[in-house]
Amino acid sequence: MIPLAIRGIGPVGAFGAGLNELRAALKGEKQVVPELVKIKTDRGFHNLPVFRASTRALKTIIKSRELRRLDHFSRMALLGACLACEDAGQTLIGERTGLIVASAYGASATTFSFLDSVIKDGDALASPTLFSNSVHNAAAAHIAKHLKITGPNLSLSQGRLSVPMALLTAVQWLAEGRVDTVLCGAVDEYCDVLGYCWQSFLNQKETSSDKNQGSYLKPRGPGEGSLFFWLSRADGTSAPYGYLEKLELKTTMPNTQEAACAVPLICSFGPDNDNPEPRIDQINNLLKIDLSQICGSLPIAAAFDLAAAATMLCDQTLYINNPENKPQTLPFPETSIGCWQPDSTTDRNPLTGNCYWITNRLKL
Amino acid sequence: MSISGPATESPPNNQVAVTGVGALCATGLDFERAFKALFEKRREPTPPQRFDLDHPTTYPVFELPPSPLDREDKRQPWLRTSRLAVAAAREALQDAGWGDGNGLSQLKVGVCIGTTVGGAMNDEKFYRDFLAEKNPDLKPINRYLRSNPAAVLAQVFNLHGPQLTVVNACSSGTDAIGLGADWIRSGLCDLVLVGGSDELCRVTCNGFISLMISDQQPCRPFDRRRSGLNLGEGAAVLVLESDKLQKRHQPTPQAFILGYGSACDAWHLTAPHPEGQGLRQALQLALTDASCKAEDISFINAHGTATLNNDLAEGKVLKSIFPQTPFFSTKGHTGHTLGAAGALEAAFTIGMLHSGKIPASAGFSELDPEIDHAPTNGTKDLNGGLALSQSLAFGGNNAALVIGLDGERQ
Repeated sequence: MIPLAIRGIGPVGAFGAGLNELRAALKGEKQVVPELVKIKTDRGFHNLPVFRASTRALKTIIKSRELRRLDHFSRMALLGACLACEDAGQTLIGERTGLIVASAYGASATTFSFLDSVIKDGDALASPTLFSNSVHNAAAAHIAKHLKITGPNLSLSQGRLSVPMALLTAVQWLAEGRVDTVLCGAVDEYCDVLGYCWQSFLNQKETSSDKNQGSYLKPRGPGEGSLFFWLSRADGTSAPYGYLEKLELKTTMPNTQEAACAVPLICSFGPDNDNPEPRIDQINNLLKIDLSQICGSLPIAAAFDLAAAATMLCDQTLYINNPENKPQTLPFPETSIGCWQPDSTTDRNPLTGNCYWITNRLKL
Repeated sequence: MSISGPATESPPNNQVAVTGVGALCATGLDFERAFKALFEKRREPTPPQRFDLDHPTTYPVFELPPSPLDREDKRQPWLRTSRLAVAAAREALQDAGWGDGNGLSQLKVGVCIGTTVGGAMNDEKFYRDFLAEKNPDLKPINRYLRSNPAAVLAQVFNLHGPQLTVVNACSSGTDAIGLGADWIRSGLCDLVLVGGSDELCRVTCNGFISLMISDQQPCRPFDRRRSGLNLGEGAAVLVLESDKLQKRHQPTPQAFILGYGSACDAWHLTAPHPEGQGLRQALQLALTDASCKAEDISFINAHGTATLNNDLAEGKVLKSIFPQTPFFSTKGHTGHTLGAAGALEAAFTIGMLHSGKIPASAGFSELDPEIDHAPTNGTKDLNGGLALSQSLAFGGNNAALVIGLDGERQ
């Protein structure tokens, strides 16, 4: 594949908004405390830790009047997109830029709010504003309108493969010359129904026979956020966050040879994945990090993994959230980092591949 | 098996062969019947039969005829949208000579499917029980989680290539075909199942009625008296194959995807740009991609939803770029099938190129002076082997495909 230059990153999550906030959380300088949300299930009340994201920073970028009709989902996406553009120093965009927005669940809170309007007021009084904002590509529409992105525009939804499929599409568009740059990102949100489902699934798991399987990494609680990358072809100039050089959707875990190509291999347990294949410990150079402690568990966590790896490459420092949260220096100056997000391949869900990619800062 | 990024930077050949077609919608439960009905005058949208709506007046829809697909069973534990997609894919694979798809698991086979409803968690019964604190069972959630249309097709046919569910609202089906064709062009896949699928449901019916863009009569695309759309449901899947695979498999290509263009109005959440700015750009990109000119196009399968805004913007663009080219909308027969629409219309476009005929634009009878450009008003014979199928969507998305009978023309 052609290498993709990562020129800007726009993260939004429970840790805050912007790369400095993400970096501070990665370094352990900033403690992220989840909000405890009361959830009622058939087993009574539970306090579920939820990693919510604030979009207050958006008001410093866009007039409040223009944000009136945007829901929280679109605001998170727009904020991440604006921050990625700002980080990349981009102001003039237009038709040679593509926009890709990945989301596993879409604007679920708005979808349920639309149902509220139907249930409370009747079919004939359903809310048109809520309906139009519940459509999966509403966030992409708001971003395109605000940033004047008139190139190809793609919204996609592929569960935990949403982020790698978004990146794969960016590679395609740039390789074919359809666009010169791509604003590529992902967004997912928390809502009350998700909290109920999360807690109910946890309850079921606690009573199931395989409750000990993978128990060493309990999910910390659902999260929400957005993360956008400003990507372009490698053009000989230095990319501040390195290059996405390899992108694979795998149905098996990386083997030792593959793992050796990327030193170190970051294995982040992002989404609601508490059941990774146990063999991961056999991989050399595997550096486990747990980003869920700064952004919660969410299906687009792969974007946060890549952002974390790119930030570490940029800073030439490993930020490992071990108990001391002590940053480590990379072992040598010219190196690459791999990210691998494990996923259980089961009979019921045999098609969810793992994602694995490598960034290399100095090769080009 | 693993899937890496595309192998080549410059595609050697833009043409992508379509070797199989499958489709179902209100006009028929397979492609042949669905296509044939487009040339008949009969069209019978009815109030929804599978669910109730509570409005002072009725809004007709184009529902599928009753079939086993109406039932969720143990073999098909998915949302209806995915069951429709599977039915269309089975037909397309049979049509392409792949039988039940057994030979595909050893190939690089991708799935790229457009939808709107298929990507949304909106089970109303579950939500009502949740609001009432009845601790609803998670069965509807599990069904939703396992119903991603692209993942379902990959699971059913044991495919291990890239899976992508496009949720670009009403242009999803067209975009899915364009993106899947790119996977073939770049060498990422040997074969791709592309298309779109969507079911009728209360959420979309209530949503479009709330926007006041649903007609209480059978819809009238491009007509002066048009008053909105009728929703529909259906699915269409095309089998795309690489040159390399065709040499081994030796199918008879039915058509070729020659060009794809996509562009955004960046204008309004629900309304198209009044001058169709994004559509113009998407059309130009598709024509350039196919190395052809506007005058090479023999007909256009338009989006033509019958809403005031869509048909006005689309009609203006068609008049200025293709003043002599016949165009029509098939939504007067199928209803607006949302994420499936672009795929169904691409499938119909292939059928028309083969039959050498295009149908009347159902529902049209009176020219809109603001558009000043009339769609077909009767069946016409075709001249030429190149056609356009185009879609506009919520969010300002626009997508266009150039489809040809002859892959060697480039």
